[in-house]
Amino acid sequence: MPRLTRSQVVQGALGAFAALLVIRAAQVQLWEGRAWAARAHKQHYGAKAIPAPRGALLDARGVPLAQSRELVKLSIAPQEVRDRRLLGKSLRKLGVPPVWIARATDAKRKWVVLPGRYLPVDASDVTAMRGVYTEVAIDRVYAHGEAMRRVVGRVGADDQPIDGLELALDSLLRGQEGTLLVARDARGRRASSSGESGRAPVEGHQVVLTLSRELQDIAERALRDAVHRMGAAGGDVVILDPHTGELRALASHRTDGSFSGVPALSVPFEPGSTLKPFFAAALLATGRATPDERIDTENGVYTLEGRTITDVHAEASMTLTDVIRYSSNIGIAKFTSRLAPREQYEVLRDLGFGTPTGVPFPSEAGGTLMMPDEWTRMSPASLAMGYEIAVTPVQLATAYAAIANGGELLEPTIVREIRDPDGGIRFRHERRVVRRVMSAEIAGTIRSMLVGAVEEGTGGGAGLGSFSVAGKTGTARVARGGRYAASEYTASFVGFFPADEPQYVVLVKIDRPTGAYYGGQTAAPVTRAVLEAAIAARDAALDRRALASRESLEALARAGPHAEDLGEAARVVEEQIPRHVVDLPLARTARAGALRAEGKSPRAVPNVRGMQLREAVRTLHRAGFRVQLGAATGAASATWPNAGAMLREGSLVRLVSDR
Amino acid sequence: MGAVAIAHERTRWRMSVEARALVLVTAVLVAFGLVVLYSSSAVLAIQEGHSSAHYLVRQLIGALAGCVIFAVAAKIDAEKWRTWAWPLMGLSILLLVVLILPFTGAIAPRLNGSRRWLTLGLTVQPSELAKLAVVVWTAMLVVKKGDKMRRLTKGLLPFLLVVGVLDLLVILEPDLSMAMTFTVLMGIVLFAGGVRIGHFVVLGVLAIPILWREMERVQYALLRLTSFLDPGAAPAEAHYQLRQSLIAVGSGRLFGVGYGEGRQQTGFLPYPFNDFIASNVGEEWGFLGLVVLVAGFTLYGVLGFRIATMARTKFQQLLALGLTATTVLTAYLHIGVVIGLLPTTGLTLPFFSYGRSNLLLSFLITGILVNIASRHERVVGATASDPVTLAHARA
Repeated sequence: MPRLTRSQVVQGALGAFAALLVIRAAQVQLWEGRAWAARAHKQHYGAKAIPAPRGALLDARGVPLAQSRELVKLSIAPQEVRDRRLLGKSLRKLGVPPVWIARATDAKRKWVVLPGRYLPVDASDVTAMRGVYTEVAIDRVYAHGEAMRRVVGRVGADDQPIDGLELALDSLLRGQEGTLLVARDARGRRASSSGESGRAPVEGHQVVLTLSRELQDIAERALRDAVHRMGAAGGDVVILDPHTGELRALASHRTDGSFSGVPALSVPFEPGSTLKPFFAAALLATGRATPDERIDTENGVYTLEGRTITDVHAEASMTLTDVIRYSSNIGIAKFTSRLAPREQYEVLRDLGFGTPTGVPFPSEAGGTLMMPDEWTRMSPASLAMGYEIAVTPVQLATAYAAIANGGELLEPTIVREIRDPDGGIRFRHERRVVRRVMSAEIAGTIRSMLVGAVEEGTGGGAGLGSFSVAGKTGTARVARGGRYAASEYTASFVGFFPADEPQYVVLVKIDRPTGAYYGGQTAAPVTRAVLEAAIAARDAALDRRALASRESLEALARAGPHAEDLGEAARVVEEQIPRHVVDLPLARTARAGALRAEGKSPRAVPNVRGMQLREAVRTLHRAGFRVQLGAATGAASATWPNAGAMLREGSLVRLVSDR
Repeated sequence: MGAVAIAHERTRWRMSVEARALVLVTAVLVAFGLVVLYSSSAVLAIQEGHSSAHYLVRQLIGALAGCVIFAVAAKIDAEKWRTWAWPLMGLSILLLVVLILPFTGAIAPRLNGSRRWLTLGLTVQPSELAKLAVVVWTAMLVVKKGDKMRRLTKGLLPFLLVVGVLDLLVILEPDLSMAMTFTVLMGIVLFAGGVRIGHFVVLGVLAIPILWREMERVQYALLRLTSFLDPGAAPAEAHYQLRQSLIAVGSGRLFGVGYGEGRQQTGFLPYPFNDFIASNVGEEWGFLGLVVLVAGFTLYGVLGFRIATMARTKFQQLLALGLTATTVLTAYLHIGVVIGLLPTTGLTLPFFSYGRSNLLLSFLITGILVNIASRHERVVGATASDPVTLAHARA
């Protein structure tokens, strides 16, 4: 049949078509397959950023000042949920507003993003359900305390630091974002997590500050009380360890709230008489005066370069020691005239005035110190009395630390230690001497002059009874529009404690107090209040052993004839005093090692989340811990310290429960 | 002997080896098709608020009904279709007219931009029936006209007029690819029936401007065609479909991503379980899957053409050829579209694509082919066949 040949033509055409299909399929799938697969992957999966927790900021004793915690954001695909009524119930328990519960359980909706953020523990019921999708959100929690918050700073909603240490140390605190591959559907919406793992987020570094939360609170409270009581405009308190340069407290207060950051670091002031001891030290060092050298103090009124200088404590003549003790303006102006302007400038420059100290903090000010060629004829006397110069409270406290520690100007610091997320130490502050500004001998002499200033002179308000405090008051008129205002003063006191073996340098500055404006009547009592509270507080990082032994020795000395052998008594006393070791928050591994060394093996706090309280308590007891209950009913939601923390046997674990 | 034989006489259709092989190939294709349909429709079914097997169950019901239709068609003498040709054509034209009438929106709703389905309790697609009508009717008329086929006016023109009416009706739906399918099927049957090659050339030259004007008028068909000619400048929608299909097929590579592991059907591919179901085969079963698919339909074609050569009459021969081409060509065109060999058009893959009209038609076609490949026997006694086949079957 000839027509069949036509049928064969049709067959042949179809056969050729089939061959073309196979060739084209091979081209798309085998030759170009890799490229198409890459495109498929690109459109099927999206890299979702997993936020990394910021590193914690801890105080010197390891108390968290700023901490990140993980929260979850919930998204619900109502159509995928098996039991919508149960979901509604669980959401109600979680505290989701009824409007949102209605939306989340509405089968007509495809995707509902709940507005709130929840603790993973609380939301665990919900997140276990099918059709519920979670997203990690990180929340930054701050310790209370206005001044501490200002030092620590803030992080904005977009995880960008705003101010304070959060800003200054951002590169360290910021973690490394992780990524998660998530499957996406055609609308670009997240469909599900893909099982394919991306990159895990890396937590930021942990920063341990030198600040003590306790001292900070004490300083802040005392300052606030004082400012209120004196009707002052504000004030600053700085507490510094003179042996290490570590700042222990940086408190500031302004009644009108008109400041940001930490004025103790960023707002310079004219220090007034508190500069006098440094010139005395320079005179002694250059041999141009002796402590007992008398100078004519003109009965309290003296005219120099057309300007009248007055003394509050008027005398015909005074020794250098008394000039410091009674803060004689006439005396110090006359004494300091023995120094050439260049020498006088170098004294101040060497103390670090006019230059930022280098504390890692945004907006630290350097203050103002004019070069001698900019000086007027009145400048040497003005500078001697602490005018025509502006210093920050931290600069001044650092300079006093040099007197307290035997003459070394240290670099102040606010960061003690930086640890990486694994607990490895990345940075540890080491005492850094900028320069020697006076000999140890002269420092001792100045110290004893300053003891006198507290015990008999202007700084009497700072005295503490059994402990000696050394210090100097300052009262400076406030400059307004190029003139010194008639009745506005800055009252300040810088002291150290205890006077002979100083552990703290305390600077208190009160701005524009009304009423008693002399430093001796305003700032010095604040110092006493701070120190009293610090001694009373258990955790104020004082070397209590040194204090206590001294106190006991003094008591023994007062006991008189019965205490023949003071050395022996000291030994006995020392044995009685429990060694108070400041507990540094060591890295977990290091701490575990330290505890093991003490003979009791550390053990991990078991995870009791979700257990009924009775069971949780039993579990903790079995693990060898003592338990403190936070509430009487419900399921355990957390422990403090957290599950997994290494603690010595018998340690107290606080158990928190939900209602 | 005769009296005894007559007492127990009955007749039956005895299937040839080709017919049995065709049934086997069809069964394999249907089974593979249902498996693929589930994977390609499950996610969308869930997204639409149904159970994942929503489309599978419906297709399965269609397949069971298809088996019945197949069995019936296999037992009906294929020669009967010759007498049913005109009624079939008339019914097709009537249904297609109902589709495009302006006041029949209630039973012929517009879905995805065109009116292709009649909803009469069951949803039917009249153009699937029309495909059968074109083949049956063309084969009938070719045989009837005999030598007159060699003349243009009396031979070819009637075909062009009637099928032209069908084409016009489906273009108005609009469904340009169906119109082209009609024309091509008619052309194949005519070609095999012995129409002059010269007439085909004239036909082609005439068709181009008409087709071109239609494309310009039917905006949406134009989109599809131009997107193939110049993908870079293509309108976003048509280009998107082709790209998504290539992503699906290409990412399958040699062995595929695995059954149920494909992701393109979750919303990236348009119509993943009908117009683009072969994309899913390419993605989940890889190059090997597509080769098996092409091989399956090629085998179907080879068997169909063998059946055509052994047909009892010339009508049945043309019918077998046309019906085989209907299934195989549609399948090839569908695969050609999803791998970017052809412009993006809406063509179904027989036995695979969701759509019971098409499924039933495919079963019916297979049934007719099986009948053509069978011999009508007289059975003597319980099992023994009379070696002489019935006279009327040999006519």
